[in-house]
Amino acid sequence: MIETFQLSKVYSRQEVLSGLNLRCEAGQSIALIGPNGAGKTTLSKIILGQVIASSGRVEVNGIDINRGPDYRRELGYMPQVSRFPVRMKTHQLFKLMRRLRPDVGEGEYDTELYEELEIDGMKNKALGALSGGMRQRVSAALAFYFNPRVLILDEPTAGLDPLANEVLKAKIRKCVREQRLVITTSHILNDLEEICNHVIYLLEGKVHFAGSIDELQERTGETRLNRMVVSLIKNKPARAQYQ
Amino acid sequence: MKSIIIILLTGLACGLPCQLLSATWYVGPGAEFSALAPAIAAAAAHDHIIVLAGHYRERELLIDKPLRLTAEPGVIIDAENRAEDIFLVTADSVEISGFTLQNVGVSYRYECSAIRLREVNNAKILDNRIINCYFGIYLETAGRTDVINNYIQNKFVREVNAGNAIHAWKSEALRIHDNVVTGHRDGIYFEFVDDSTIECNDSYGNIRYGLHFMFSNRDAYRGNIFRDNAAGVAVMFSHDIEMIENEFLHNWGGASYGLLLKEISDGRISHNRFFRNTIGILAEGANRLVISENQFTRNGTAIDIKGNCLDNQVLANNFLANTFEVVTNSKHNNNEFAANYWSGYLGYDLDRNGIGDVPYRPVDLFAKITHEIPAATMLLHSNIIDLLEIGEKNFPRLIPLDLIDSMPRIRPYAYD
Amino acid sequence: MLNISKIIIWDLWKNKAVIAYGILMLTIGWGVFAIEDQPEKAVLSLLRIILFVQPLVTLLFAGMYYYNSQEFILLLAAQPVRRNTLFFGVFAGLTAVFTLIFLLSIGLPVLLFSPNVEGLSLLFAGALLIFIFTALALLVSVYFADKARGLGFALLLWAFFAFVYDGLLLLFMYQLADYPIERPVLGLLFFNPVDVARIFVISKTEASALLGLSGAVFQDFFGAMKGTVISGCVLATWALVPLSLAYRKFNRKDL
Repeated sequence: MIETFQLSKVYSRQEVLSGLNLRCEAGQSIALIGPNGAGKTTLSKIILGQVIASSGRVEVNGIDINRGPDYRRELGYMPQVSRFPVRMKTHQLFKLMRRLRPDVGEGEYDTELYEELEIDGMKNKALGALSGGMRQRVSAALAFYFNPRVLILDEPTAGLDPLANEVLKAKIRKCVREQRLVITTSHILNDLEEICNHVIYLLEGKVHFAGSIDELQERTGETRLNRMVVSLIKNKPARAQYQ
Repeated sequence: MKSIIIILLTGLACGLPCQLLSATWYVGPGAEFSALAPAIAAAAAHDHIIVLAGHYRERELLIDKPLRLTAEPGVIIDAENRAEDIFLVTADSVEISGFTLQNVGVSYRYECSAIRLREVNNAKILDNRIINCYFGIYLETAGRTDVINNYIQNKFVREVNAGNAIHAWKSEALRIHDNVVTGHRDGIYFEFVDDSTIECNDSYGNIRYGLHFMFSNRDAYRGNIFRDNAAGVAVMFSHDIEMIENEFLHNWGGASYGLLLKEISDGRISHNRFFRNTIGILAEGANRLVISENQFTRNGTAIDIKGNCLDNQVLANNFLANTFEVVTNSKHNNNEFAANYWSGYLGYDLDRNGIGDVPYRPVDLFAKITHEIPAATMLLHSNIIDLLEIGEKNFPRLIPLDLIDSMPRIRPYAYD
Repeated sequence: MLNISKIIIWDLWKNKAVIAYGILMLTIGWGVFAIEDQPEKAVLSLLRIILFVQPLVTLLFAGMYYYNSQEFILLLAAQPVRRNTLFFGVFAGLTAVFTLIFLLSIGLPVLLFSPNVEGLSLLFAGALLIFIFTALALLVSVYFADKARGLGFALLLWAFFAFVYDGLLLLFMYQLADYPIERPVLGLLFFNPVDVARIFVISKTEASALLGLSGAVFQDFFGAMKGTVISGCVLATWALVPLSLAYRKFNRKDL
């Protein structure tokens, strides 16, 4: 579904991503992990078209993302921090988004999270008046709203209360069962463990490990994700599966 | 009773002969004369010649006896672009009225004109149309002559081969009223003409001056409109001139002004309107003039008063939205400015007597700057100029300190 | 693009700063005509507002709005929306609000009390200045990632165009007063949009003063329609160049 070819990004002479070759398939739920500054956010932003790659390219469903914005119809995105126009009301935000997506018809919206996260209860509140956690809930509901085939979630659980967190995780698992692709960036490995079946571990802009949890388990001999990661950091770079 | 009848009869006997003896001659197709020249030759003094409608190709019509020439509607006398006068009048008490005179050619040797009066008195030139003639009406040493309600038009382009519409030289007691003059070099030209009046004329689109006035004294011109002339109106080397209720409109251009005053003294300029001229009044060597109750609106410069002007009084005028209100080349001021309304005035009137409580300096810093560097005019209304102006208002160093209206009006006068 | 503009307009419309600015401009625009008996004088006062206050507000406000909406722009950029749609949507939204305020506060009174060529030229120049300074604000904002530096630079830009440039020009003229500098000065004016707008308006209102200059250059330039047409075209260029530069940068920019 998503494939990168020699993807590099240089920020003012500092190479953040260097020659990334990745392939992510439908049905995978990928934990995109790595230390701070490893290039996780940059990678997801490149896929979203918010950051322009220095070299290399990204294909979504076999089409280069530079060919136009239509590929983003397949993408649902939940940013790390969501800030909306402060005076806009929640229901107006959804109305705006619906207007931006004329390709998704009335009645085709995925309102599951909208309902379970009780967005309706705050629909007349101005977005500026919402707390950080409430904004995250809006953001999460929005990410799934248009039934995207690919979900890119940047620290989705940070700021969510435990209940909402569980709702979100259940939704992610459901998406994976529906053969969608979910890429989640997080430092909370316990959460990732529950929802992910694949791991991409970035280190200094390179793929340190990419493969299924099973492979990682096999390689490290650990059972818990956090243990596996620690082990990954200690060991020599593993040859990634897709390189 | 008898004596009264005798006196009456004697009076009639003295008056009647002229009337009784004056004949009326007709000129025109089917009349006794088919051309003017033989009719004029045949007529005796004080005869009346009536010209019937028609196109007459005649010129050099010498009128050397007192005659009345009246044209019926549709009379055209055409000089066919020859450089000769149409009428040359050398006798007193001639009246020429109602003619259309056209196509007097341009000459560099002789200022040929449609109607020329030479050394005559009591002439009347009325209701004529003079089209495309080198000079229109040429008064050469005329006295007590009326030029009234004529329309004089040409389409000159270059000044060197253009003549004036009404040209008066060495004359006196003229009345130039209600004429329309356009497209000539000068609309009305006066040189050595005294004790005359110029009233209610419309002088526009002339390629030099609407009115050109030199070495002429004790004249008055009022109620005229001077508009869109290339250089405006010039009044020079004269004294005791009254300029009242005229309109000076749209005289635009590099060397253009509403009214140029040069070496003149003891005149009065009142109740005129100066609207959208490059310079409203340009005064050089003007002395003891009273400039009062005029309206200066939206001129580039309302008054440019040079340092050699003395003892003029600028009183009770309205200055509305002129780019420069007063401009001078001197650091000193020898004229009086008082009780004018200045739209640039931002003062207050706490005692509510209609007079601003702080005096006003109509010469601003920007006027000073542009005087030194004309190109700086390009910065008109620039913010930097406003900032400098504020500085100068608070610490005056450059503008003439004594050019002050000490009693500026808060509201404009109602003169319109 | 319309969707995005609509949402920007809607957002701006409830912004307290915009409301304050709108009320200020309404007070000035209508107040000037209420106080002044002569519409000519009022038009001049409004020219000062348009050349001084309005560029400042436009620059700072548009810049601030861009910086404050970065997250939202990010969110929109993740939708299937083209970058140019997004950019021009933001630009159109900002200019629409500024122009509306301008038309309500200055346009209406001018059309009511001074409906003539002068008034219309004032409105045309004012509207184009809004266009230009919004474009400049976006240009500065997309080049400076840091809000404080960006707004600081915008402020410098305003000072430069509003009076520093003309001050330098005046010094230049003083230095070279003995030379025929009319043509270079006229040329240099075109490098400052505020000057071009000013020239555009005064070529309609006060050409009489400009014609008083001896230089044949000005006669030629301000004599007929030429000055108006040229300065109008230069103004339009001034609007388009920063806009297209900003757009290019935005298109290749990491949000």
